[in-house]
Amino acid sequence: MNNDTLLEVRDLQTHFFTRTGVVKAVDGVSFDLNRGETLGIVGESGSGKSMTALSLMRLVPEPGGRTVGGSIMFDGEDLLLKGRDEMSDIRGRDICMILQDPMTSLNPVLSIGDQLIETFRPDGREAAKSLWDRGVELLRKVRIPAADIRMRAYPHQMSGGMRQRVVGAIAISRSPKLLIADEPTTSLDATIQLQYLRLLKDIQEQTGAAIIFITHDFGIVARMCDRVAVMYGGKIVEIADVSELFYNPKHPYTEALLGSVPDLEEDVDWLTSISGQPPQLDNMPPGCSFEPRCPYAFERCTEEYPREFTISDKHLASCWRLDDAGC
Amino acid sequence: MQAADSVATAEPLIAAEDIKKHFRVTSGFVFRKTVGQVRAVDGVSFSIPQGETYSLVGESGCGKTTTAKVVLLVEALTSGRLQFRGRDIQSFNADQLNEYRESVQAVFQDPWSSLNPRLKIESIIAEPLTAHRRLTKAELRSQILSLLEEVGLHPSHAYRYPHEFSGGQRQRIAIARALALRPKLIVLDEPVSALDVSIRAQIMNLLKQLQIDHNLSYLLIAHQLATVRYMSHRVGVMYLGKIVEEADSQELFRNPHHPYTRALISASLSSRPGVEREEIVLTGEVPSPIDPPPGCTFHPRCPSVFEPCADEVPQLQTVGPGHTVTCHLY
Amino acid sequence: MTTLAEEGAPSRGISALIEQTRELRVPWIPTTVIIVLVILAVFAPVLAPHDPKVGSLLDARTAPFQTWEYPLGTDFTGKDILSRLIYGARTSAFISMFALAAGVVVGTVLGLISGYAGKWVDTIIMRIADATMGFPSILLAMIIVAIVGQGLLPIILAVAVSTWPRIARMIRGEVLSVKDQDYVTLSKIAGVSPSVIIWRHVFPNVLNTLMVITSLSVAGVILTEASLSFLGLGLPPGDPAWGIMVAEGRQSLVRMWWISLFPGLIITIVVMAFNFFGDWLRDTLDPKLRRVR
Repeated sequence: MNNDTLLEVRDLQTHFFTRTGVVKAVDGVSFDLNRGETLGIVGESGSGKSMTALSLMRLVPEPGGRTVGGSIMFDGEDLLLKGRDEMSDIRGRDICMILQDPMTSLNPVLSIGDQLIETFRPDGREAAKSLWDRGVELLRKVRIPAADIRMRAYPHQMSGGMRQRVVGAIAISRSPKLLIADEPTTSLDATIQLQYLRLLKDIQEQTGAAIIFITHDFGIVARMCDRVAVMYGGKIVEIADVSELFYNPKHPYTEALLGSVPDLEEDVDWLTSISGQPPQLDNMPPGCSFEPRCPYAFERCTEEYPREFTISDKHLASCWRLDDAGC
Repeated sequence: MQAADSVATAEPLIAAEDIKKHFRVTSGFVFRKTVGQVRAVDGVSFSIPQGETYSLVGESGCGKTTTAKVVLLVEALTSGRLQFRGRDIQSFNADQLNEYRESVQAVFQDPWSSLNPRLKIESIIAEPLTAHRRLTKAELRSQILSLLEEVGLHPSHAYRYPHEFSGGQRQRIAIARALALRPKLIVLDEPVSALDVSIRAQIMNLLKQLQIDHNLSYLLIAHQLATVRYMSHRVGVMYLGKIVEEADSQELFRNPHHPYTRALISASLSSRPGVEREEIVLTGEVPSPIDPPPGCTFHPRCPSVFEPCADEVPQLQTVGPGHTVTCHLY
Repeated sequence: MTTLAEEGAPSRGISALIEQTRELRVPWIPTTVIIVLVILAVFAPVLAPHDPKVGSLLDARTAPFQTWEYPLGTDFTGKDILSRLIYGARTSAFISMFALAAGVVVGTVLGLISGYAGKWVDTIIMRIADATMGFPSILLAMIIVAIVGQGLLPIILAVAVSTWPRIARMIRGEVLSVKDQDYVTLSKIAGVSPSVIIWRHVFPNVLNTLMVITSLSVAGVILTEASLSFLGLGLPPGDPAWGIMVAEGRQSLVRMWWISLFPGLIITIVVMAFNFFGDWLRDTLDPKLRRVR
């Protein structure tokens, strides 16, 4: 682990124990993240992308869910070995989750200032004036005009874009090293989404934080991320730098997914669609999880999960077709 | 051929002429008084020929869903005319209205709330049929099975409950129900935006195929421009209850005129990295439809705002074949 | 989910049934109390050792736990307390059942109509419900007794009238949320008639709520019935009803405590049992709560 590496996830396993059996929501996920880097984790519902994020924060829903294996080295320390209180400190300070919907993240009956100051966890030793100034400073950082007046405002008095910025200010109040942005499936209006993405870029410039984007939208990945990991059936099936992944996809799932998104730039008469349904995690095929939907599947795919092949230094993919390609 | 074409364009399947839907905002408990009006739809005109897709795009709150509800007769018109095959539906008697209802069906965004969780798929698809037709059990069954087949589901799925299906399959069921009465027009309100990416293409392709097979017309409500471009023949861009620009799909995306259309296009993310778009930053929020700005309703946010915008309401201008825009710039 | 539905109960028989019951975490004590209550009510003539209405004056005022003949003692006129309690279960169950049935039917129908129709229909029904709720049930019972006289019917009526508004309100609230579901709108678009929509789409989706409020109302109904009986507004004094028994013993609470204590205790236990059972049912059936858990 060199000094640039902020996060090193190795063989992360998060399982759900239900009446009908064990559901491997996250099944051996490994990736690295450098300081200040932006990684996109792309996948469909049930791919394990959100559960990966929750595992990183040690917020897997209990009872039932548990991280049963692997390691999460964050800044040189394994988060999986941390106690409950220690972890809660880290979550408040070093790792932050930022939600897209500003309405649900703010308390409507508290003023913006109160909510900001609350996040400083004042212990009574710091003067009220100084706390206030820190709040104003934060609002300025996220480019809220007339910050000192806004401190006294309530969420309903602000526009959606401003509220989003307040949420952003709260997220960076403790200068986190890692921001996790989990995007809900139903998307916002394009103009609002763009505002949100700009805000995150601003925050990243201000704090130098690394960002993990949990999304299903390749548009967001294309615009925001340095690297992308594609998840399917609880595993990362391909990981690469953004342009490498978009223009030289090696996993059939990535390839098909990219081909099934309509483009605004050009006219397409007929999209290639992926047949079948996303896999059900409690009923996984024995071999490659994408095999039932894969146009290239052959015998080996039904028997054995493919190992990870190295295409180039930073491009890995798990597909048996790569075996013949001599990777 | 020429003659046939001109007839087809002369009488579209459905046409809206200056339709308005205002909601009264009331206050007071006993004596309700009107304190304002939400001009959800404020003078919208469009027409949809048989077999084509007309899309309404715009941000949430622009009135596109209310327009759809007016067409579906879920909301009553405040003013304007809605014509079905050249006749005003206001003049329809009960039988004609019934025929209209049979001809216009809908598919909604959320495949989870579109299907009653307590009914089997069979009964869900049968419902419109039993409401309008007298069919024997055997006829009903065979129709249900052929509908399921048409949307790519297995006959055995008829005997299952909605919770046993994934989002994409549920949307297929919703489409099967919408098809049951063999409608002429299907209103598609965000039909794919709640679905997984890999499923969206399946559903869009299915809808396109059904359109070809049955010569269906679609009124598509969507906010994702790439979806709109892929699906539609003609597109209307809505802002604050009005259509500000209208053109054929290709023309609109290649050659957008209205500053709002341009801003929308610039804000939608490209699906490839490295594609740079000119970034048009819209300032401020969508104003309240209770109290829309004077002049052009877009002027407070418009990057190209100039003198007449705040005072004069812009008139509809034709800027190309079939391409109209409501903006002082042209 | 698919596997769950396909491998559902019937094929695996009794062991699966036991397994399922365990999963449900049925509250055993309240359930037992309710079952015992039902058995007592149904088999009262077989189970009761004495006639509940006729006492033997020779054995009057026997204290409890003295003889096997009268395990819980006798009252002033020598009527067996135990037998009167058992028959009292019958009275309570009978009155509660009919009152509740009437209240639930009226409440559900009006709640469905009110919620679905909306507008002025809703306003009228809900104002009536409010007025009824604001009217004290005891006063109401007195008026009814004054009109139709004492007996089973007036008490059933009085209890039913005080039950329906709450049920109607809850059902209406539930209908309002179901009404906004897309499948209801789609049925309207498909031209399905309102009565069919209510019956097929709305009613089944408020059924869970209905079961929960019904079971939670039982306790209130039993309590109302007991209070009305206590005040002498229910059955004639000699009849076996728990409320009447409590009332009978109240003059000599110190010397003959058992006359009031046992029926009072039973009322408490039964009311608690129904409350606990209702709570459990709500936790189990209410999908909103289940999601939180």
